[in-house]
Amino acid sequence: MRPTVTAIVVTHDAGVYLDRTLEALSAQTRLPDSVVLVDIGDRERITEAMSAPVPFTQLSASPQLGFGAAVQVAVRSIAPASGDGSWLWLLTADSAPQPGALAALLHALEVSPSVAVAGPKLMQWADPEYISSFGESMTPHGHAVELAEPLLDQAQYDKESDVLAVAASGMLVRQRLWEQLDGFDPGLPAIDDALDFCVRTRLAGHRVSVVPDARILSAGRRAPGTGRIGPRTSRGARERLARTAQLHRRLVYAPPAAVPLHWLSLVPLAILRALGQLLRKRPGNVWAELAAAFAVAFGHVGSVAAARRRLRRTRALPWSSIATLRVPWAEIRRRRALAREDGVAVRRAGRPALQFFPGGGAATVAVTAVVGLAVHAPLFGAGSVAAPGLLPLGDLGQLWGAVGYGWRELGTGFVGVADPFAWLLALLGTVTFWSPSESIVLLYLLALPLAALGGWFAAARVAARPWLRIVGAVLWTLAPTFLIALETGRLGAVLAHLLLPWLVYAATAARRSWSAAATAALLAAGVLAAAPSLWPALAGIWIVSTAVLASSGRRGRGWHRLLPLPIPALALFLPLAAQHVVRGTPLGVFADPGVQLPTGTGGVLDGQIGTVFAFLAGIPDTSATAWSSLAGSGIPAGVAVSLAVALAAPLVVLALASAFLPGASRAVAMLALAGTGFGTAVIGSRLTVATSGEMILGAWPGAGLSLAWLGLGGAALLGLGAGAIQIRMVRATAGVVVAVAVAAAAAPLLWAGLSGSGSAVPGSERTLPALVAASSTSDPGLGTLVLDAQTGPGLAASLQRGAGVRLDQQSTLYSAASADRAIGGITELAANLASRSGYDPLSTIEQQRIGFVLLQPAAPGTRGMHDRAAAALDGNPLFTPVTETDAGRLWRYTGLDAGLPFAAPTGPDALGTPLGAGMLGVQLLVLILTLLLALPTGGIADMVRPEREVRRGSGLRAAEPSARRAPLVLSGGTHAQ
Amino acid sequence: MPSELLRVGGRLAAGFGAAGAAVVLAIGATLLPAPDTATGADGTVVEPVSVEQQRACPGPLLTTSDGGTALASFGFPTISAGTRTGPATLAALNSVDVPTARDGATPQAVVAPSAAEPTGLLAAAQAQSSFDDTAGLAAAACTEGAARSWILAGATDTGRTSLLLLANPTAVTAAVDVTIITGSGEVTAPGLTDIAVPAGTQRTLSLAGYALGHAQLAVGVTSRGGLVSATLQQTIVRGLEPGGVDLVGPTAPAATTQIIPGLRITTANAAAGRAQAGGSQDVQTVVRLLAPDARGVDEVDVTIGLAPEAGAGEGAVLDVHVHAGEVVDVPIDSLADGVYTATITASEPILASARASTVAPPLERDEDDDEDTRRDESDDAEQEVLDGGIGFDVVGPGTGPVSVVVGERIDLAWFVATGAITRPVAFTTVDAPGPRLAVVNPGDEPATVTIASVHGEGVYEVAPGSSIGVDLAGATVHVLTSTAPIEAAVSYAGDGQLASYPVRPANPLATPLTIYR
Repeated sequence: MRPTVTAIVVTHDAGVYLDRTLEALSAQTRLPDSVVLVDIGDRERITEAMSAPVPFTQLSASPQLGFGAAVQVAVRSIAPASGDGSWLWLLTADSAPQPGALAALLHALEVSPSVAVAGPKLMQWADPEYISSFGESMTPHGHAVELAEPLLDQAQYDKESDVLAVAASGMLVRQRLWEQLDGFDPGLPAIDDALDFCVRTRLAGHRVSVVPDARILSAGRRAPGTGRIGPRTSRGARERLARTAQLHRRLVYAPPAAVPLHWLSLVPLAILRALGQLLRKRPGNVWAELAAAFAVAFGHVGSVAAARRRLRRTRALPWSSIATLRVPWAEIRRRRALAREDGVAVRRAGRPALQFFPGGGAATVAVTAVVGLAVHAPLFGAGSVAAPGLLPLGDLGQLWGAVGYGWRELGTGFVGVADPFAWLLALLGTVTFWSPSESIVLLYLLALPLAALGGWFAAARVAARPWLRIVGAVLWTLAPTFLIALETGRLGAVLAHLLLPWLVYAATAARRSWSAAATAALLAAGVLAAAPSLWPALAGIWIVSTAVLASSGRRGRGWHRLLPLPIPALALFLPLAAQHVVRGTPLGVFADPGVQLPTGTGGVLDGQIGTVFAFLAGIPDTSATAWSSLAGSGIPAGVAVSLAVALAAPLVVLALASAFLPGASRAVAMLALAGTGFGTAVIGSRLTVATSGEMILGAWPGAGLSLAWLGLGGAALLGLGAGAIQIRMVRATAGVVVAVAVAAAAAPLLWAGLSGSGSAVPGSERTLPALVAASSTSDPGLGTLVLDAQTGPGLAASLQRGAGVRLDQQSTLYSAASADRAIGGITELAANLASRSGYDPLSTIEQQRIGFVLLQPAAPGTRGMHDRAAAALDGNPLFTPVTETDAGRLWRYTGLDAGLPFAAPTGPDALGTPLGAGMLGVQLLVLILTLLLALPTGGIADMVRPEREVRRGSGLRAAEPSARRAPLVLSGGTHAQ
Repeated sequence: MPSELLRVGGRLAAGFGAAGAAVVLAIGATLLPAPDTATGADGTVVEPVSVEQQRACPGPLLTTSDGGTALASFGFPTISAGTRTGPATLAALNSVDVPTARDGATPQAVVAPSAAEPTGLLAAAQAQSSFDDTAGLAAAACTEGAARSWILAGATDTGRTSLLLLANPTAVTAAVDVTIITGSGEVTAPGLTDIAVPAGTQRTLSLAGYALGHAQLAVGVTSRGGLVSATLQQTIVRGLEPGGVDLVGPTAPAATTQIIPGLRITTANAAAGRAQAGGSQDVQTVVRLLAPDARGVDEVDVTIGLAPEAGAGEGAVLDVHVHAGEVVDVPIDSLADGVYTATITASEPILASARASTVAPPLERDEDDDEDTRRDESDDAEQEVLDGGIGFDVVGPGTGPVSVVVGERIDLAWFVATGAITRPVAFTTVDAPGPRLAVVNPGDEPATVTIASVHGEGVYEVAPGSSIGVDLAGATVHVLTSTAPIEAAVSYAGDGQLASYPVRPANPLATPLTIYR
């Protein structure tokens, strides 16, 4: 009996593909007996009847239908199978068959009557010599596997015939079987539908076979597909569909007892796999994993039950009957090994060596290490560093407890969000977890070599020549702002300077890899946590560079990886910013974290013009003790500062000159960076973001000047590296002049540390006198009212508990707050204790648990106020003078012997409020996920489970003769079976 | 080669564009306004809770004239104390170093309840005239204790006695450190530190015991614990002739500008004549200066300006150099009778006070018919050359014969630097001749000054940079109010009597404070 074949073509807005397919169908040597076209497209389409004399029916169906459902529509429209001789030929719009395809398929069926499903060899549309798909199978665990690699068809797979499954398009299936099995599983609308159908075919006791002589084209990924999956389906959505299909099949195929276990494992497994996707640097797949798991767990209950019923009804053979058709593990391993070899070759090809060791980078770091150790030699063996901007760190518990939203023991205490700087301090302190303050000593000892290391790597991004990179490292290490930040103990500015070059290093690679992008995001969060005043500058740079790259086509490829760069920083800063806004101090979010220090000016560079000159030279603070220590040697401090400014002139001139040289666009970008940093420094120093005593403080210009120095240095290196080889001598001279000038300007700053006349000296673990510290060991909540006389008729008052205030306790919420809000509970007490007054301090003293009053030493101009406060306290019978130390004069509350009745005020810790715990949880989640993405595990993941360039997937456009390129054998396996 | 031209042109454009942008940025940065640092941070202004008002009056004058070193008090000072509306409470202080009180008088502590209104402010002063071997008028304001004060007065050369009175009216024992500075620098002597002044007592120290034979003295008093009121009693006896007595309180703390209001010259000619006589150089009007802690500076440039009251009369301006840490007396010899404001400006913070004397002819004594009341003192004139630490040439005694009238009644008075009055203050006059208030307006704004007492209220305008004098009723509490910062002092002058004390804000330790975070 002559078989009857009904070709069912499913089309979805297929355009030219469909025309070519219908044409090819008409050209069949063995024409199908009828053709049913199911149009599930969104757009209206009038299809010409086929040129061949074949009965042609056109149906329209909902665009929502998947391939299987669309076929089902067609099958219902034709007469039911009259016998085993009725066949359905399932075609997609892009499955243009070669003329003998149907004939070959039918021939194969004639030879083996037990075959109920036959599949052709799918060839790639763009390169019809290459295989697209030729039989499918599963691993023993049920993962779908293509049997054939996407290789040049050399008949290497042609000996296969019995397979587990074939692809949907081009499948020739016995109509009765189709009806018996109820077609494709509606739970698998896009992927694995044919695989599932073929598995059920096999279990129903039929054979599935591939026919090498029947060739059909396939557009692969570019196939117009259906409304469920098409050329516009993103990589992530495709991944989600695939994962959904796999999970669905897992639930359908599992033995009944295992189904609940599988169901319970769906979401936990999805979370683990999502983390794995991060480690594999495929953040786009994270959502796919989770969405698939949730979809299957909660949306597929009905379809899984139906599918299980259908399978039970039709299954005639045990599962073991198809075991031999699965791909064995050995084969899987072999394929991975091959892919791994290919991957290594590809990765090696794209990565130029940095030449850190041979290029002099290591030597530069070693030399700066020696200089750094010498300069900070007095700090050797110290337990902590004392500098104007430094305080001791608490123990590890206190450091990590300071992170998040909770009680801050500043002033009279308040509940607030920690500065993101607390994260940095906690991380830093964890390095020397046995005594966190030592981490700052360590940082000081290693600061110079760390800066040189960062500088070298950042310089490697703009300069190819080894000596230029060394110049870059030296410039970065000897930046005046960095050395001044070190000397004054501005830890935030120091950390920002150390992290900035790495941010540049990572951000320039961010477009190429998710790992670099995540690293850049973490570094940006670190830089901003250390120096929040850089927010406007970095945000501006991010917006401009992303916009420029996004609009520059192919040259800006990968710009989407820049989009999430600010996420970790935002996660850290948004809660703080929100609280600052609520408290009415929105600018406070830009205040430098840690101790609030005024920016000093001194000597001849006072005033706005002098400040601008100093800023141009990268000097944020002209009052550094290093300059004044030179005064002893006969050079007035003002002259020394002016000299330092003049010595920076060659660098500025060279940087500006680089814009005249070839490659000006990069130099202009670097100069723009410098300008941004300069602007940040100027504007930050002209704003009021915090107060300290009677002084109003702007953001310290140092961080902005680090950014400016980065731009100047980058432009100078570009200038030195640009141009023809003939001017090599000029270039070398210029480079040496710049480096020597900067080194000369830095010399007094280095000498200050070396000679011990700097202000960063070994310090102690407490800031209050020993007597208070001793009392605090038994009563850590005991408060000390610390008064600091001001030049006007006023006092700065603060309340410190225990052995004194710590660096990790500082908060910009406190330093930006008004006195009323910050210390409202003790202003009356402070003013009256510093006056002859009839005030009764007892209730406040007891409520706030104050045991001591410390009057800080008088400074020039505050002697009168200091003496008044001292006199008033001396005359107060409630207090007895105890001692006078470097920290000031101390009085002890006489009632302390009897004990204070109340505990110190306190509040919830970071996990004590739902809001705080939730905030901390979100921040931790963001940071950990970014960290996982940043970890350089991409290579390792590729080693463990490599993925080949699977489908060449070329579609219609590449098929145009003009656009056709020579086939590139990326997957280049030469293995033939 | 247009492409080459284009490329070079592009580079030039980029370069000049970058340089131009850099210049614009730098200029913009210089023009961007800086925050107004003058306003400072927001602090909370706290007015201290007012407290019981307390003053210490140094009590009767002391003498050692009985022979030996034992001190004895004599006479009764008249104390005028109270608020504008009522009297104050007096409590005796125990004068522990004075075994003998001839007339039974003691130093007094004056106490009044706390007051928020100016009418409730306490004022107290005392005056005592003497006509014995200690002759003259000694008037002093009863002061509050202070932790740190400087008295620029006193001398310990022949015939001059300087007694430092330390009263502690508070409830806490005070430990006092005394610094004595002479014309040749600081005196180091045992017993000057940790002098205990128990609560409710007055200690007396004779400066001669520590620094004998110095014509220029300055005394610094620092107390811990309780606050002490320091007063210095200076007595002069020239030969057997009483030469004046005065009680001097602390002068204003060191500052680069000091103002001494109401420097009252009454007998300029007689005093000038007498100052020529040996042993009487300290009749001369002088300004005493001390730069107490000018570190690292050898010489302090000082300008002394003397402006007559209400602009009537001749003033004087002197430029002198002062060695840091040494007391200097600058003679002022050109002033006619009148009231002057001394304004001292210096390159470093400096302390200042002024001394003037009045010389009255001998009393007509019927029984005393000595023909020859004049004798030639010129031979002794050389013996009293002032020495030490003066950065100017001392105008020495005259070389010609000087005739001195025996029995001339001389009194000295110290005028101290006062300090700015910015809030209403209360002061009192005592029952002494010629009470007069000098008000100086050192600022740039005209000041409207109101002086109110039970006798009525007077309103006066004081032009910027000038001073006025107001004659007052004796033994009355006045409240002084001004629209602009002023400085003021009360002085008394009579026949052979001269005294002065400053008007200072009440309770300087209880002015409002701004508390910052």
